Amino acid sequence: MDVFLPIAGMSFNFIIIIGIGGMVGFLSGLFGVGGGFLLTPLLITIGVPPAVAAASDSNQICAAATSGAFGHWRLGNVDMKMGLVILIGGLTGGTVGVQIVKYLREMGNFDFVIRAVYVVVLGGIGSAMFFESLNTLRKSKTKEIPPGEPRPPKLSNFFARLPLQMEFKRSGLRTSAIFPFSAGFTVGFLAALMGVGGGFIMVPTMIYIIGMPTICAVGTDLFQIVITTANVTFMQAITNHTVDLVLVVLLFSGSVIGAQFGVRVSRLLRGEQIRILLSIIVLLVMVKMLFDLLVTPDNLIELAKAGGGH
Amino acid sequence: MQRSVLNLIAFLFLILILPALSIAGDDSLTLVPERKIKMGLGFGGETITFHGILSQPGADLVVRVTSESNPPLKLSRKDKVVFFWMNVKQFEISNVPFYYKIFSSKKLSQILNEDLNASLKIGYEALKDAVQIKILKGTPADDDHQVVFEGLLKLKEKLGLYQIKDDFITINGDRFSFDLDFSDRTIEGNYIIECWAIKDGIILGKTKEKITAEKVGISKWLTNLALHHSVFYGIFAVIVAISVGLLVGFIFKGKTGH
Repeated sequence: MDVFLPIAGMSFNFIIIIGIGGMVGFLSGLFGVGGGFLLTPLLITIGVPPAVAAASDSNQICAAATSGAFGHWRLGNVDMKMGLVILIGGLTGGTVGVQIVKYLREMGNFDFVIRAVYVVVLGGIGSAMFFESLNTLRKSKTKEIPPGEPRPPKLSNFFARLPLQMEFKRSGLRTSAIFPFSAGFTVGFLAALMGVGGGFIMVPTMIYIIGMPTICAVGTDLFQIVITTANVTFMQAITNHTVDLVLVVLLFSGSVIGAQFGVRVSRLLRGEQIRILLSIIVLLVMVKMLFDLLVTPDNLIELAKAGGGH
Repeated sequence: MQRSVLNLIAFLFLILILPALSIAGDDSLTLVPERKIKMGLGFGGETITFHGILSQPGADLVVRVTSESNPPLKLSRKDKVVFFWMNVKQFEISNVPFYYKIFSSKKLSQILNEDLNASLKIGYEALKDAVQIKILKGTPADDDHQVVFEGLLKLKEKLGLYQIKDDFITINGDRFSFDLDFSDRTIEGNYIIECWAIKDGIILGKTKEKITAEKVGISKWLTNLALHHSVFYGIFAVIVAISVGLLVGFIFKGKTGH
């Protein structure tokens, strides 16, 4: 049964949209990522205009992340203090990033820049996470080290000596506020450039650079995603008029339920198992992006795109 | 169901009223009157069957359907740079219809002679001559016009907005009919249906009808809100998202515990 999306100006079988929402929502609850890095390309692949896909994606992620964050908050996995510091950095980085995006769009070929940045960032993060998790899994099987969290990163020792020290009780860390602020800024900047929520960058950053426990990083990330995506949804609605509420409601329906199952499954898996699954998905998206850049397109002519949105 | 009722009304109109009109007036060609395409939430494209009366025996028919509003559009051209496919040029295309369909009862080349072709300007070649392509970014090349036009046709045909079909109009005695598809990519506005009855390279009759596509119900309400009350729409979208997220989180409360 088809449903017409009034802002996108096209119709789809509603089961396809709900199915995509459910799949991405599940991953959101499981990994603590907003799912934008997966949802936006998927929506574009089925034919939704990139500008509508990016904007509506933010709105549905806001709902899915709210549901997931609520679940994690109840389980005690949200470090509110850490989340707020990261959020301030993220909003600052995002604002700077939007200006860079504007500049790049004026220069032309923004579409290529997005894909190229996707390939480099996803490739780097995905590979690093995959090999680290694989190593941890192997060692835990041979009982060389106890299974669970990665070793505390060396970078965190450096930041622990900087000014503006703060105690993050929930994460069990004492470090400089400059540290999570900088991480938030970098992720916010990249998120604006790549048109996604940034969870797939933030979760590994919190685990590998800040040194937070995996499950706490997941919950805290969902919390900051709620605020970030709410801000982006509003900005997209008033600037580009590209938020399609019908599309969003259908994606909600699948994703909020999927997110709850994701949270439940995340409790059944160990940290390194969650990380290796996420790394495989990140690498698959990277391969798809690289494929799009290398393979001869069906039509050399395409409608000029609006580019990334967040 | 609704479409069937409309088709039935159109058919009854054809049977009872049109012959009288056709005889009474000078029209040798008549189509059913204008109607509307309603783009509600259930709209997934629509096929409309047109019926008509052809008073000239042995004549052939050519139908052209075009959109009334045809704003310029921007297209990008990709090219290989080292190993990667990149957008290397951008063009502004004007004087090109958003929607363009041509149907005929025989092969077009058998109906239209050179003179008629020149005066009616029907077909992709005529479009190609009329289209204006202006380069906005990149270095112009000799094949730009050709490559961009061919790419545009491919793009539009894929979206169901352009089509040329020979032998598509069924003529049965003095009656004829054809199906016109409006894909889900149809935009709001008027669509003009022009119909010519041609025999031996001479136009024996012509008629013109209009069909309007418009959003209705929730689809119309949301579009108006998004475009004309965007601050309210943005706040509304955020409130809906957070409320639904919290509600679902709360519903699952008992099932996600330790």
